[in-house]
Amino acid sequence: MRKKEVELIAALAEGKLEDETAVRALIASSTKRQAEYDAQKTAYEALSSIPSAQLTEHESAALHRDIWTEFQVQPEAEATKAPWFYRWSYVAAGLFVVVGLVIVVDQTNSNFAPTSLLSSGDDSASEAPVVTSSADESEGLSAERALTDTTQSATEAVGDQESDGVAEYADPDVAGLTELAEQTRSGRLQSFDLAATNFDAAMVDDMTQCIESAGLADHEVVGDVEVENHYIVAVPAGAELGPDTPVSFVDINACQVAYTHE
Amino acid sequence: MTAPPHDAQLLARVVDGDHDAFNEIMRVHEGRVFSVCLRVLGDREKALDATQETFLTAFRKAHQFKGNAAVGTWLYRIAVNTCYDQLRKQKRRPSEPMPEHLDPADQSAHEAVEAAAVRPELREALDSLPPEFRAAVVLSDVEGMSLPDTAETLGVPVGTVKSRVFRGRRLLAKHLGNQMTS
Repeated sequence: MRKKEVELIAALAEGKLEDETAVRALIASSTKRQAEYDAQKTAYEALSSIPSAQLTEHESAALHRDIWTEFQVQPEAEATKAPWFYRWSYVAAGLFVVVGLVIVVDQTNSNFAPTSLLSSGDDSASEAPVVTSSADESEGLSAERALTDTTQSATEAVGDQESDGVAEYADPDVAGLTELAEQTRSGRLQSFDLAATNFDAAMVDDMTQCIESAGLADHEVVGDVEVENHYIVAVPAGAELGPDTPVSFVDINACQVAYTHE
Repeated sequence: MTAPPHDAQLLARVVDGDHDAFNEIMRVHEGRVFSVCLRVLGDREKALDATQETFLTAFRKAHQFKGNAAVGTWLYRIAVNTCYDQLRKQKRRPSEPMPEHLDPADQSAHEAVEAAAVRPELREALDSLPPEFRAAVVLSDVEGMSLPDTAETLGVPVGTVKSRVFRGRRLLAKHLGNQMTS
């Protein structure tokens, strides 16, 4: 069934069409469309019957009280333990780490080629030094992990707290994704949502569209995982899983390749 | 969602240290934030925790609000992300749902719980949906948000929201159908 047809069927189920004749005829033309209409209508009616929940006066008062208690505790605690010159010492420490990081990055760039972070993959034309042996490769990856750790420490040291709730797309956890890529290659990957829905065809379809938007039209979905973020796992279509299969992780919200393990 | 200028002005005052302005923002939005959290998490106590966490985060991040979206949309987005975090934690450390903890003296609490009650089979069907699908159908079909507003709240394109809503409904109907036949 085409996307547009599903949209029309859903609009009919929601009672939002002024002229229903054409869509009703469309639905009557096949049992699949009729089933889609029945599902959309049943679910929409059930969901829209759910009442909007309200806080009681007591709960609302407790919420305000607890929040202000939390706010009062935090600034006081910070004020008592941090005289002004301590704050400057944090800035100095931050600068020290940033300068150190710049030196590490300089040295890293001159020593080895980066792996394919935030790219869909073909770096073969790059003029960076080519790392071929597996020992060198693992050394490069370790250095990259060390660099990632250093970056994280530096970020934390200067007090950037982007992580709780608002910042949606954190940098990928390369170590975690690398491990999951190995599990994919050996057929041991445990999916997240897809496992819960027993590889529901509609969800796979949704994910396939997402990886296509990410520029991986020639890939297929083999699972989905949760590591800090929710990713679709994709491999080249028709490829036999093995130690050399490139495994890509696509951010399910942004539909962008977050990491490719080659 | 059209941004009431009032909200944005209040948030600017919050950044300047005006606590009354934050109380006012909470009063306007706490009901819907709680409602979204309750329908996504399915448990009143957890929804209250998530509502509190949402406003704590909003207060800490008030200076980062750029005004690209309505304050409400920004708050609901924080709320949904807070709920996702709670669901992930729950998945790692599964626990039995807590019984509703109500103040015996608070008669309105019992009435509120009853008024917000959802048929058990529907609750179960909603809980069975993947979190992204659940959030989409809650915002769109339960809270009655338009698809563009839902997309803005979830931070995804409208097409993705449509797809999640339609597929979420399909899964929900399938679950309800299975329950009726079993």
